[in-house]
Amino acid sequence: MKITVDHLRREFGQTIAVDDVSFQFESGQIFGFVGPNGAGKTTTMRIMATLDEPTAGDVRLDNLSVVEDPERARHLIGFVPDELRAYWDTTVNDYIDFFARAYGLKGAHREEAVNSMEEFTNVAGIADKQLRALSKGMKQRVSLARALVGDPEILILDEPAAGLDPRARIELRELLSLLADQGKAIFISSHILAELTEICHGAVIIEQGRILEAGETGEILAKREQKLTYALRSMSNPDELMRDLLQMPHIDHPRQAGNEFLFEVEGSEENAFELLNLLIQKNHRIIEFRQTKTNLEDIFMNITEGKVQ
Amino acid sequence: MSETTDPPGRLSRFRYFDTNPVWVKDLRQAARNWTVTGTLLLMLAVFYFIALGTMIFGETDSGASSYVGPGIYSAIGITTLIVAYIFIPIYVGIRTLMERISINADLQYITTMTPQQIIRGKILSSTYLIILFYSAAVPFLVFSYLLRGIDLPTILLSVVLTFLVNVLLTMGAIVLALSPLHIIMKILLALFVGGNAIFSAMWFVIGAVASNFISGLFGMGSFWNEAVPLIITFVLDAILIAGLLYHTAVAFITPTSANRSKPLRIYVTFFCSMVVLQFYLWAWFTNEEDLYLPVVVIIPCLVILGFLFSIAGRDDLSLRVQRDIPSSPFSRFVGFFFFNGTLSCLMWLLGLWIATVFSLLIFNVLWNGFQASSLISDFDDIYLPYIAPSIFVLYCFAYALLGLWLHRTFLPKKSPKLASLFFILLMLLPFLFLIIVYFVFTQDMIDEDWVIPGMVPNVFMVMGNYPETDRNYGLWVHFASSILMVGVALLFNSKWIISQIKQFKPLQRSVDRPTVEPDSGDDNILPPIIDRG
Repeated sequence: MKITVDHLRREFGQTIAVDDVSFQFESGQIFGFVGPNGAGKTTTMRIMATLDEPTAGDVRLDNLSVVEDPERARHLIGFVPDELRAYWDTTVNDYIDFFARAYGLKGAHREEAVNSMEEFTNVAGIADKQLRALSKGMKQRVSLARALVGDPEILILDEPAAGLDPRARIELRELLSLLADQGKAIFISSHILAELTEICHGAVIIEQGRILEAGETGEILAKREQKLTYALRSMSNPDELMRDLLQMPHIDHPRQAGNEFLFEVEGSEENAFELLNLLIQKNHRIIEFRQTKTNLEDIFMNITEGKVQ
Repeated sequence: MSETTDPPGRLSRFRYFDTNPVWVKDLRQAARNWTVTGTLLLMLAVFYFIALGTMIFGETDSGASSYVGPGIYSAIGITTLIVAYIFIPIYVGIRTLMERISINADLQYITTMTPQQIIRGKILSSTYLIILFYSAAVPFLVFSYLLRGIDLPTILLSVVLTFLVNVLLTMGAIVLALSPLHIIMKILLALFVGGNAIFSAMWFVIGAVASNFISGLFGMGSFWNEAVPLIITFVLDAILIAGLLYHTAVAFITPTSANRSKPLRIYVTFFCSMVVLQFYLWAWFTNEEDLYLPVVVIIPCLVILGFLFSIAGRDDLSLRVQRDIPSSPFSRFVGFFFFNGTLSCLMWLLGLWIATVFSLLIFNVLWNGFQASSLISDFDDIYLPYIAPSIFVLYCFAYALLGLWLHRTFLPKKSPKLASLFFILLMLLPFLFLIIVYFVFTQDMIDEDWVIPGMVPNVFMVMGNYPETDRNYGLWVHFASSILMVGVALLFNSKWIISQIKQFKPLQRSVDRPTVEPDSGDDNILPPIIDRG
């Protein structure tokens, strides 16, 4: 199945939350949705999940329009919002069972689906616990189980890793990879970009409601790798080093990340060598200088400015 | 992993019957909720003490010869009434509100369940709760029968009456909770309108029971000719109102892109027809000509309320609605009045009133021809039934159009709900302004016999304070000015009206619409739409 977001636009009064957004991905792929807060990620995802209607444009699941046929589209979509709504006096089992019923599962099929989802998302052990007693990570698992119980072909996850501990993140990542291997199309927004790089086949980068970059990760990285990213560690004064870096030729986006400086160097490795020479001539005490692999985080930092509408 | 059900055929649908998911979920939540179980237990404890107290003290005070049945029945009945009328609508309303409180509507609203299925589930679960509370009360009520002084039919009928009103109140709470209003507005409406409805209903039911109205029904000379039609009318009215609340709630949770107006408008048309017919029938068969009068009060009120709400919605047609517009001219003409759209809604409402006036004319002619008395035979009698309600409807129609124009002209990017605000302000502000200006300059109130064209509140003054000939003159002035205002409002909105009419045409798909080639294989097979209707 091919999911095509086609010139999507969403206005809230005078605010344009989503402006002419287009991209596509397909079954078996995990696509990351990256952007600063207020970029229009949740609005786009809500429209894709039929929770909201666009001012213009459409989302098509193969030939099925989400705008024209939301009822049919819902059979194909599982949505995991950023937080689990207040079902404070419902047990995990009742919650998943309700959504299984809502998706039209009946009798033994329903029981089987609920049990298998509880097993798959590892919540079977807490099936009789009330939702209010669950941790954030457990709630995310329940939410995932709920979204999956109707066996959707497309899974849309809005910040599923937010608030999860490292172990839960790794487990979530593994679950998503497993689902993609089963042929599901997964669209996931997250602030934890390093994690997305590891599991995503592609990414969509959005800012101020507009797409800055979209496509398969390989393509995006290839496009960006015309500039090589370097990491530099020095014992010099950081302010002086930054000042000198800013004055150097062929350098783009120098930034400090922890005790390292990261920057892109235009052109060939000859330019990097020249740069290193210049820094040594300026008596900077370089202790490490290496080329790094560009990841989504680098691209995100390079092309976004952190603006919101 | 999981398997969706096959599409059931007409006959095999029973095989696929399953309990409404919302019903199951809501009852599970209620069973786990301490407020429900706590209130139920508290009510039972109160019943127990009432029964015990009446048994001990009732006998002592009144002597053994006096029947304590009516006393214990009243006490338990009123306790049930207070608990069920106040607690259940509040509980159901809050639960529903919590699901719709923010833009992040509860995910049940985007499952494959239809809006009808969701609302049916809500109504079923709340009705079940009401039955639960009443089932706790019924043994005590029957116990009061055993103590003598009250008969079983009276107990049964009063329980049915109380139950029906309770269901309507709870449905009203669901409608309010789902309405597209700000939460503060909902709370205010719940406090003032909801609270008022609950206490009016309690007063009505207690009054009916305490005044021996219900027991009196069984003592009527002709039970089948007098009591039964009354009971049937009450039950049918309750069903009609329940239907109205159901369709309203469904419309509230149906996406705005769907043609949600259609079922609601069809039902309201049916509802109004039934209301009108009911009063005509009662007037005809009881020979009470004044019984037609509620028609000229209820229908205009509904129409004016409709104006207020209709201008607060979107006036463009979604792709889904355009797709369903019929292509034949006649069907398209009829469809215009029932499909989404602000202008179509205003015209439909106006049509409802015009139809009511025509029905009244026909009833009038039939009455004068076949009944012994005459209804409206003199030209001077047409003012109150025909002219006065028409003035209100026409003024409000003009205000609605002007409200739309103000919104479109000055605040087009703001919420269309502002058009409703302009509607109310146009109705009240000029009159208040006039009163204040007049008071500032003269230190006096405006004369009661003034006729001020264009101002609705003045119509009430004209109707209330004038001698008949002056009243009629005043009403003619208002009638003429209301028509003039409608003309002006139509002129102001002429471009918009033309655009509304033009947009009501079947969807023309552009040839170059980008399409995605379907993948080959099973992925392309869509699941069936399961009609759970």
